[in-house]
Amino acid sequence: MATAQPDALLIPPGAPVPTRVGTGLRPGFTRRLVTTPIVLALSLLALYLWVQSRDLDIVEDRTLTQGQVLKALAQHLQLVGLSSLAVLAIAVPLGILVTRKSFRHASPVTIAIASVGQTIPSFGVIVLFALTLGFGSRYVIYALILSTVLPVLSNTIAGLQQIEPALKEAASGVGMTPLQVLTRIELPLAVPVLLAGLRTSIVLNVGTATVAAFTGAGGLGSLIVTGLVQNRDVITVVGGALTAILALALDHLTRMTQELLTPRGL
Amino acid sequence: MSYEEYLSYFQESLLRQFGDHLAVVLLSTLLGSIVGVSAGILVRHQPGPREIVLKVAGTMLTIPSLALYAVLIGILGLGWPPVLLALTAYSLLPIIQNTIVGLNSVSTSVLEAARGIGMGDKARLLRVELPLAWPVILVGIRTAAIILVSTAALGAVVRGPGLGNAIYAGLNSIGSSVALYQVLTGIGGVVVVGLLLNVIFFALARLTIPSGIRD
Amino acid sequence: MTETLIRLEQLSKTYPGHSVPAVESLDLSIPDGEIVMFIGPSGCGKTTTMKMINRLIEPSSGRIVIAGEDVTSIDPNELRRRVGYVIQQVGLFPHVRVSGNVGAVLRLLKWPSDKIARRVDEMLDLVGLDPSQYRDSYPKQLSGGQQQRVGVARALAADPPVMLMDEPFGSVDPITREHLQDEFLRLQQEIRKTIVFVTHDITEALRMGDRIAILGERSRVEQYDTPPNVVARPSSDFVANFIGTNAGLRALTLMPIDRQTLVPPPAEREGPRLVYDEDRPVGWHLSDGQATTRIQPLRLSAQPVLADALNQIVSSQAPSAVVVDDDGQLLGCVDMSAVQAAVRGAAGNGDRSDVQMEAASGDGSA
Repeated sequence: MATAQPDALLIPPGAPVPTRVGTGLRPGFTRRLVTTPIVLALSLLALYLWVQSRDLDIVEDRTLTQGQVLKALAQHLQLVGLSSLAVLAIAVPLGILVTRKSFRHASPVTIAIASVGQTIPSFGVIVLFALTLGFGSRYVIYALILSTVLPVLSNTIAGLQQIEPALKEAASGVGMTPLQVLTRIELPLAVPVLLAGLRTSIVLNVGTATVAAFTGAGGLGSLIVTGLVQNRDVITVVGGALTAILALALDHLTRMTQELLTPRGL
Repeated sequence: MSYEEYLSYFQESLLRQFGDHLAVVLLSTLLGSIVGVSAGILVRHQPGPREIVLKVAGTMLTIPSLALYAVLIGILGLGWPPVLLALTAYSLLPIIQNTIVGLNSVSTSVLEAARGIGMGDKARLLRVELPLAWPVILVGIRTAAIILVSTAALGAVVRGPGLGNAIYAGLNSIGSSVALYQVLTGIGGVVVVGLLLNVIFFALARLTIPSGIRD
Repeated sequence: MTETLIRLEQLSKTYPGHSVPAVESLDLSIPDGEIVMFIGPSGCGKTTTMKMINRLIEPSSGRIVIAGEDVTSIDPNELRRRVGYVIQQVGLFPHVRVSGNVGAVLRLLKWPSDKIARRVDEMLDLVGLDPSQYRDSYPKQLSGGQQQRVGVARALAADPPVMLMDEPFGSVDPITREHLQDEFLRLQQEIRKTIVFVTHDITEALRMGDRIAILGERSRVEQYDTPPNVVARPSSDFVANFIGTNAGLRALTLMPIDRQTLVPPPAEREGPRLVYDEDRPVGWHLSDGQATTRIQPLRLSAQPVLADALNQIVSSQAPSAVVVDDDGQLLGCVDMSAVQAAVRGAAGNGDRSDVQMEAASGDGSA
């Protein structure tokens, strides 16, 4: 008579006990989770103390108020957040589509377009949209979508293409519909690569969004621009440092999400 | 004004910007290669320092270009220097990573044979490991250069060199008939620089990789 | 009594963190101009011992003396330039042409380039590769067997007195392997190097070795003797088991076919007959109604052994094996009864086997 064994007994003695079954946590996760935020928090603190230690003149004082800085940050996050969501909504379905059997031939063309697209300066795209469509955050978001869709698209394609055909055949052999094969096998396996692409895209996005300041959409870039225009290094440096910290923070967040969502065994 | 008129009018400055753009990318790629390959060679066998070096290079790449230019202005002022330094910093990650991977993937039996015939560590590195790792390292350098091509454009905002200046000029002359031309030519020029770099790297690969290890 | 070229004195190797040594107090003398096979079960330390000779692995204790010189503490790179080294995976430099590979050590020794070029061609000739065809090729353009020949040429280029070979023919197919073994033996006749050869294949050891060192745990020398003696008089059960239960058949691989023992082919009218093509024997007519069974006659100049004769007899189902000269003309036959007598003799018939074996081992040194 077979009795169900509790999981604990199936772990050989002396083996490390997994903290969770299913996706994610690998040894050292906690350390990796908290190191970067701690470093970033310390950097913020250092920045703050540095600013405090300097004698700020009127212009600097007025620009670097808490309200102004937070407003710039919020604008920046809004730009990045909205465009990133849009990028996901466009690039993932498009990537799935292009890797379906019927579209096999589109593959080399997409790759060629991607290679050229890589060199298009996002600065140019934003200015172009501003000139042709108009100023303001709406068009900046369009430009951001266009500039940052590439990494997510090419990684979605790569992530789906790297899956062994034998695996998909086995799945449909067991009776899964194409949709089930996609959602239960392909996408989970493609997630790590996809998220790596999303990470690149978000970082690129934060950087490109700084240019938004030139076209009236605000964001942390506006601090940098003010500093350049008014020739006040303190403002420029604060703008730059905050942008850098934001990029690193979002990168870290995405990296941790990537780790959590990567199926165990990969 | 028609596009042709625009081109002939601005020909001189556009060509100069094109040349500068190519130059700043090539120069920072060169500097990045020297620093990156050396760093890769030094840390390839030591996991601790290796992780640190890769982390630092990766962090620099994560910092947005305008932000990095902005921070470097504080030390280096405007113009070529902050752009050159920032671009060099950006080039490091792909170069170091590929140097490490390339060197560590040299076949162990080839290395054993090299030791067995009496090659010392330095001879082995120069005559066997680096030549065999070179194709991979070159891919890393090329990747870095391509990243730099589009990143360099924003340097115009801090009075740096290159075609970004055309784009910036377009932004600042909004409303004029040439604004759009400026932006489009700036973008187009950058893409051409990218294509040119691909050709250069293709030729470089052809010249420096012996047919014995060409795939 | 041949002079000793390499002496291993109390050689030991213990890896850090391990309590048991990999090699324990090994004493061995390797005579000049001989091929000594190191053979033993996996993990016995045979490769480790060999690699201590050129100090790719540094001994924990003990001495290595080559041609009277204590090389235990000299500059290892300098030592390795004087010792030829051939490994199973060959390890040719893929980014360098064959000429560059073969000349690698010479370049390290700073020979002038014209001298290197001449020597490279000489070495390629020696290993059976036409220099004009192969010197500018890249390793990836060569077959496995060809690559290994280049490996051997590289090892010989600086004319080292000692060669270390670690299962050099292990990664090619059996047919090529036998071919390479034959050629190497022929080469050794010419160059007479002192060779330490590691193998796990007892047949290879018996075929190629002037002497065999059977190594047990921690490289303990279980027996160190000529192949005939190891086969006929194993010193322990370990050795006997290692040689294998068919010692008799194994011995056949050691017994060359002697021209004087050849007999004329069977000539009975009703029985099997040799079939000729322009007076070269090419097959057997075994019975009426059957097509001619073709054979590959054994060429006497290739120094065939009784095992080859047995092979031919069994696969052709003929009563004898056929031996020819270099033009393919018949020299004589070896019939089954001769083979059987040899097996019986080797399987333990004391004196008779000694006489046969000693005649077979050539120089008679035991």
